[in-house]
Amino acid sequence: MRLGVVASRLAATLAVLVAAMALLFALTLAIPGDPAAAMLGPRATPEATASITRQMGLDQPVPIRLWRFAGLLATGDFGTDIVSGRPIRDMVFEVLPFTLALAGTAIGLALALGFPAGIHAATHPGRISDRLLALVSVAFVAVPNFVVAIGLLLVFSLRLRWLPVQGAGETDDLLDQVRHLALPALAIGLGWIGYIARLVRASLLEVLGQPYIRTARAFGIGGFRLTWKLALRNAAIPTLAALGVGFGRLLGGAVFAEIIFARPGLGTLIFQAIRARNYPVVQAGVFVTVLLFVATNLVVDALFLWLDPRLRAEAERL
Amino acid sequence: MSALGEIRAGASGRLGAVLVLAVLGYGLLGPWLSPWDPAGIMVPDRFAGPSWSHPFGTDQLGRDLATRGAYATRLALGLAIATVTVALAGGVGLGVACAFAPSRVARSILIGFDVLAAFPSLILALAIIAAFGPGLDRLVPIIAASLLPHFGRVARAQALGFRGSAFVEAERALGAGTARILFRHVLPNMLGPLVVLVSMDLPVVVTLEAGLSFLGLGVPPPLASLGTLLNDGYANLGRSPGPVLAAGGVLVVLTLGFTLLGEALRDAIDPRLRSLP
Amino acid sequence: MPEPIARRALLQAGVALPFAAWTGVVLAQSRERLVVRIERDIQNLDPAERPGAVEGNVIRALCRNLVAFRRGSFEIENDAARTIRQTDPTTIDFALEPGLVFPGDFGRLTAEDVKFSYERFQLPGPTGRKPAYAEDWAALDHVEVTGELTGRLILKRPSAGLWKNALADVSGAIQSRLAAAKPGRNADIGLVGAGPYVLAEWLPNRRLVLRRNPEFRGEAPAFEEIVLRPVADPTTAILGFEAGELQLTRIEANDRHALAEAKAGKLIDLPSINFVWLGINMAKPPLDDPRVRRAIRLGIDVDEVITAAYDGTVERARAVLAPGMLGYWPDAPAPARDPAAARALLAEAGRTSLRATLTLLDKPAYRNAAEVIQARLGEIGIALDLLPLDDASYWSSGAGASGQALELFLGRFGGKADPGFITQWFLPSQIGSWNWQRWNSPDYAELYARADREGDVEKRAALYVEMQRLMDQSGAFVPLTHETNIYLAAGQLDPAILPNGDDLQYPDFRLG
Repeated sequence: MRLGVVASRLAATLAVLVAAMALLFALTLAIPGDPAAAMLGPRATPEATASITRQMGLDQPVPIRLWRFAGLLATGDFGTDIVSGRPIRDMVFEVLPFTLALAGTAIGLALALGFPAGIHAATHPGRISDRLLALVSVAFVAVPNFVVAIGLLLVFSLRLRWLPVQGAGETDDLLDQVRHLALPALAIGLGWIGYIARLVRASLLEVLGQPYIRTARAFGIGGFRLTWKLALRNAAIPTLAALGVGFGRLLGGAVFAEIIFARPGLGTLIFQAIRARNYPVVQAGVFVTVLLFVATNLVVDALFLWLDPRLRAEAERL
Repeated sequence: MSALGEIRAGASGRLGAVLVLAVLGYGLLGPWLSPWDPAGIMVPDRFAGPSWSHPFGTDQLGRDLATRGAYATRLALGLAIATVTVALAGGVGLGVACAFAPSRVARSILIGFDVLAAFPSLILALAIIAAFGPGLDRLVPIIAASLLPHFGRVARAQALGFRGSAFVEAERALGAGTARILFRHVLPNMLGPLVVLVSMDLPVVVTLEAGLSFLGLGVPPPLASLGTLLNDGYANLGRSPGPVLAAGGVLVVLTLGFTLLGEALRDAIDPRLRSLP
Repeated sequence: MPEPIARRALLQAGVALPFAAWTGVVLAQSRERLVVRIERDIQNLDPAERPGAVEGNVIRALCRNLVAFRRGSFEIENDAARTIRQTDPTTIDFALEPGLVFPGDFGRLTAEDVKFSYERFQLPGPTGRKPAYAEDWAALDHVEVTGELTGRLILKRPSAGLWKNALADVSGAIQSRLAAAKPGRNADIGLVGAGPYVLAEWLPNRRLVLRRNPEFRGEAPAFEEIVLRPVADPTTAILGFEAGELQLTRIEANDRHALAEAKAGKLIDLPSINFVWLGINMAKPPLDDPRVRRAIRLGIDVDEVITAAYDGTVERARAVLAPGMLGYWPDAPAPARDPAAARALLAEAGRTSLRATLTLLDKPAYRNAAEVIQARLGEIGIALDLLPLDDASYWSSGAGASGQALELFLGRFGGKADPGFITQWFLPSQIGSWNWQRWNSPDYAELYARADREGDVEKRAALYVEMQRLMDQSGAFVPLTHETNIYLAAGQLDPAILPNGDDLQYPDFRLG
């Protein structure tokens, strides 16, 4: 049974990637006017136009172009950048770690802060802190994250001078990199902190209401560690689900955070490529982003499959 | 207690309703009531602070911020309604079709939903803007496409619930066609959950448009959009924090209001919706 | 600088961010490292094709010239040349300092390198066209090498601008002939000079690091390392400065107001001789009709435009050459806004409603200017679509097919010491390159050539005035302003900036 689930998930993933490829390809067909000139925009010198026509095979019939396109994407060869002459693959993979670091830190922050907050709210329901948490968490989920980012920038960097405003820090200095991650990750992660807190709260409340828990509590068994274990066990799956689904939004948020905090990353790469009408780079960036998203979903699903039976077994033992 | 009654009782729901009404009032009545032209440049009056004639002050070209904010809100609401309508129509249509169609068709529709949902909407928007350039007309299909799966799945779930139900069988026995059943029974009952979704997704649309405009890829000047107002304000942050606060404030009120209202509606109408992503 | 107390407070607030120690930020007190903001990343370090001052400043730090500008002035002093003399109007003899070497293993700086560096300006570049800065060396016939370290510049004709525009400036950079011959299309390999700095690292769009050249003969620069960081957004740059991450940045005029009270650093105001104008592509109908162009000029209020764009900190320009420059034309016409006349002209031309695109560099000043122009021209029946472009796209929009499609644009050229520099861009030979107006005027070209030859200062000035008169008559130019250059520098930093405000002399930066 499990193999079937795995297979169908893989198939779905593949379908998404194929669709992404198809969409990106379709866009190149749909660009009005001469695609080479449109892609190059102001840089359309005769040499550049010839070069990009050759590179992308723009003068070939459509099926051949599609085949080439698919082949190139599958092998990860995104071509050469017209502007700088560097392989686009290098450009993308050079900035990928930054985006990953940012997304990872944001999720890590969200978990590190959201879990305790949720547990606190569940163990002290109805209190002011609980109500406040509810409102604040909704607020941060609803409000656009670039507004949050600008707000954070103003408060923490400008007024208080605590944290760096821009860039990714010096490459060899890990500590500096971490400092530069703090604000952008917070900007993206704030919404998630609240969301996770509420998830944890909800699932923990459900469990805490169970008869056997109440009995155990009445006998004085349990306490802090028990609460935490229960929370982890029960909230793990919904949290994972939420994160998996919301990763797309997270990536979107990362784009803004990268721009506002002047960080390198996939978002900045794509954005600058759009402004510079550098379509091949946009294509590569978008494709890798979708790949990232899809891979994350796969990982999340795999974690589900792994966690689920384990959790059930553990719960029964308890 | 009726749904409306329950909303009135919940504090956050009430807050949401108030904010939504405020925003609707601002966006719909504001442009009509304001004496200022949103594109009316008065350079000598730039960066004015709040006053009776300029409740939010003026921007870097002397234009009244309150007026621009009102027009921007109207634009955001209009865009959101258009987008949501398209997504709703498409989503409900496909979702219901999915529920009643043969399994192969249903599966392909579901895969279609998955694929669309798999694209982070901002990235999708960026890709399309890269190809076609920025513009309002581009935004509607892009955003609608990213919302569609959401509506589709809810519609499908609701419709599935009806498929085996007793009275549908009865109607069928009486010779009623599928279409009649759909329109008279299935759709009206979907209304509740769909209204919730609309309210929760509206801020998403507004945010996406504001975000794209903030990046300079959305609405062209001199049209006022909450995103462009925020961008202009950010660029002139040193001169005056007013524009950022005004634009940001409106955005916050709008998104927060609709989300709070949506959540309250959801809790009132169908708490089961909580579990849906 | 944040103190440990702030950190504890942070932790107490429950924000468990993993800081261990505040490494702090380098302030200008350090002699080791200076971080300077540049407005865009460098693109091409070839002196003959350099896109702008950003590259020019780097080239100036990497290379030596025969002669160079004194610190912060347009006066010239010897640099790589031990002796250099103009023996007659068309001959300049030079003798190089012995013992100058190029870094890496590119050997000594010889007269052959001088020959290579200067003659290449006349050779067609990789695109088959003459290099962008060919005009700077147009008067050069060839360089005669008379010895390993001695040579002679033979000119085709006298050239008044040669010393300041070519020899002492970026176009006069001496690069290693051997290094240029090596394959490698990129900036970090092609250009090797014997200057005070070497290019230690270039991470595209992230930073460019200049490091002190250990083999440099001469007074070592004050800073061991200068890091150039591209930050396009002006607000981000200011925030970065205030956070201590940058020690020098140019700021926009509209930020000046807020920063005047700031204590973070010192403001340096420099008069500017740049030229900012609204340009019209005369080759594109209906803009080829002089009445339409005149209507555009009469439809806008220049003072309003520049007040909005620069927050009231600049003066109106009447022609291309700024006050104080040779050839300044104080009586240039400055028509006031006249919408009725404008509408009448449009009606006469049969164009009562027109649609056009205004291309501009995406910076707050130009965006503001563009929106004002859009509003006012809208009132006379011309609907403008605004097209803000980022640096790379903008500076290439005058070339190729894009240049032919160009309609209206906001132009901005940097000025230099000699009037021959900024006026060269409007020559017919620059159509398809930097003459985005596509203004084809053989009279202008002739006057330009005469002015470059002219030795008598007054006669020369009169010629430049004539040239500006022709520009005015073409109707393709609406002069806006000469801008202003404002820099924000960290406390002790004493930057060396040439009087035109655009050109920085990195090796001459000091701690005051």
